Amino acid sequence: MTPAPAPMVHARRLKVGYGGEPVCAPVELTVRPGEVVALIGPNGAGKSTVLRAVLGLLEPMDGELTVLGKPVDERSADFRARVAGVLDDDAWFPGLTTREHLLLTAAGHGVTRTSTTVDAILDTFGMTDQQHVLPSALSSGQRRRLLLAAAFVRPRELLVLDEPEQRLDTAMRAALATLLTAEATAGHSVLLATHDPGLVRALGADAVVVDDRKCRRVTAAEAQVVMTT
Amino acid sequence: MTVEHDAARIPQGSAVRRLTASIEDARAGRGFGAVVQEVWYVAITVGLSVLFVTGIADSIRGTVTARPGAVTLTGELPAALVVLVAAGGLVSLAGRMGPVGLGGGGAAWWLPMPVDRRGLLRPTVLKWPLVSAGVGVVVAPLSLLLFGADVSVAALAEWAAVGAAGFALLAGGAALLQRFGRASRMLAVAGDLVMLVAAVAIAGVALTGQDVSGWTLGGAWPTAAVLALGAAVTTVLAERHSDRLSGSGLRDRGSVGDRTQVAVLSLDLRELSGALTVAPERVRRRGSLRLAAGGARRAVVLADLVLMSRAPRQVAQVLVAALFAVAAGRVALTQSGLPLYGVWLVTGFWAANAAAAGARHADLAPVLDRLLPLSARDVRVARGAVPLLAATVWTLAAAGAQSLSGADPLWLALAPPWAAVLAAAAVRGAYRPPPRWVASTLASPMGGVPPTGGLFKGLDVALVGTLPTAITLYIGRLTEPLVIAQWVLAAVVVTFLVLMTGRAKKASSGRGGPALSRSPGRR
Repeated sequence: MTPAPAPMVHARRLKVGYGGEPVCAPVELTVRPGEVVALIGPNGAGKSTVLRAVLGLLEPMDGELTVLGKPVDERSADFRARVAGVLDDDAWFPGLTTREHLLLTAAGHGVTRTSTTVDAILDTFGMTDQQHVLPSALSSGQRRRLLLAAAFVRPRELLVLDEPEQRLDTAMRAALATLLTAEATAGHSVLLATHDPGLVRALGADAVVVDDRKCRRVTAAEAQVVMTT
Repeated sequence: MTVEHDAARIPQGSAVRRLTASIEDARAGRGFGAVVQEVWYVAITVGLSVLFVTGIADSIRGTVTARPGAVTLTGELPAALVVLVAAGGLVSLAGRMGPVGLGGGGAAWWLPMPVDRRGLLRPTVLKWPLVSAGVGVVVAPLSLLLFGADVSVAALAEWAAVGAAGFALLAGGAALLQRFGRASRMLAVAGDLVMLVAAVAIAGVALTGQDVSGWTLGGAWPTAAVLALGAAVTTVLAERHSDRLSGSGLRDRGSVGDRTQVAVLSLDLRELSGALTVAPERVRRRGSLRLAAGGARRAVVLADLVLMSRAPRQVAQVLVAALFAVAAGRVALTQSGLPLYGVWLVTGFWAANAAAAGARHADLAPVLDRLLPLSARDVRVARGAVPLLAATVWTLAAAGAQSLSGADPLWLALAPPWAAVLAAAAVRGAYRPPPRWVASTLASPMGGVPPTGGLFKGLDVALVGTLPTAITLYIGRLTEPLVIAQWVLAAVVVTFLVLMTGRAKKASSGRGGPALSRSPGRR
């Protein structure tokens, strides 16, 4: 019998919060290589806070949290090379175009053939026509696409996404589901917070319900019930 | 979608920074000439400011005739205390802003890269000690000039050297301590305390009338050398350890820096105060008061009182302002005339403003006031109660001291109208529209600034509403008609502001706020 691969993310009795106050019940979470796991729950349940802890942007209050088999240390270059995250940031270099942002990201991660890679990503995210546009001239949906594109233009083993469906049109949401499925097929892991039952269904992903009573893991089918009630 | 990559091709942080800057500079058409122009602008602005301040100080010195018993604040000790206040301010600011931070595009696009942070952050780490040294070069000799009529060039050079090296050391030390998480928070508090102690010491020297003119800053050059060595060591160590700064900390400090910069550019002291407020590390659970008992007006007043009681910094601000108002009446330079009026105006507005936190919060988050069963006008009047209390403390101190020194109890009759005007000014300053960046901006050495006059809103009322007092101090004689004029003018100004409240908001677009004249509770 082959032993289960070591988890990419493992949280045990993880408590997260702000100002000394936890925002949700302790979280139990395991994400294995090639697995997609969704965090679901109402607004303010603490999903984004959990993701911030996984990305090393927030110190856990208590419990155990390992990413790539080690305690989270965002200051490590190795961690940043292997973990990609898209939160709700909406900040840009005002003088760089869409294409230049992606080229910079690719170059900063040691991507070979940067120009070809960026072209492919721009095409995937339907941004080819906006490649020479400054972010200030993009719509909010296009800016969201650019942020997501930046996560795919670089190498990664774990992809952490906070409500990636936000501000995306229906076609792009479907394309995103396809991209994330391909991500899992390639052996990468995805941890995302979402309010979109369609995305969870398309991914067939297990979900962790985050709330202030008890966090629990459910199947994709059970997640549909939780998200629509 | 797999991306081909080679870890050996990951660039240095400095290369990423330079690449970004070169693209941005090329697009913006910035070059060496633009840098020279900016340096020139700063040099000219600082030079003119120094000449302006020293010119005013000299002209006041030339016109002032010291009353018997007046304290002459001269010499190096008062100057050193002023430098200490500035140093406290620098430490406080460094603690709040990082000092090392990365906001905007840098935070979002550079920090996730596996490049060395040391290379990315090098200019940011070095900027603080260098800028602080520049501030020290200006502040220290300027303080000496303010408190001494005949200052030699050698003394000015000594003070400039000590100021530059000392301020650079403080900034370098703050950058070095930043990686120890809580140290920055402690620095902010320590800086506040240094400012408070130094300010109280200045007032103490003025009130006690002790002759401190004999105190001198001995061994200035060796001191400057030691400080400069310390500054160099701390800055080098801070730069070396910048790889260990956390991304979240850099983002947080960067966002404080960005917000502060916008507040300064828009001349918005309220926004500046909000940007530099240190959030509590732990949320303290406090007992809730039964605010509703006694009616909505009482609830508003009680809420503002509770807010102030939970902010010892604001209580201290009122007391220090009162102390300075009293001390100003004892110092030869400011004991009478328009200099005394200037000190009174600024410290009085500062005291009332400290107590207007409730009104400021209400303007920023108007939803709670909208739920109150009160008209917007009534809410705003109620929000004036706590500033009135603070202004009363300040005016009683200022007028009381003046009354005692001149043995004329009539000064006390000025306290109530002054307090009313200052409270009205503080409330006006708290409720104001945000800067209009879409309108044509005004040219300034810092670039375009919005034409909202955010800095002066509130202060304008204090200035107009206290004109009879200004006249009294200018002519140097308090008469009953002037006291009556002050009462009448205060009544007119306050009534006008209260009556205009609803109209002003009706005319503005629907930004909301509690100041609509109809009852928000009936919506």
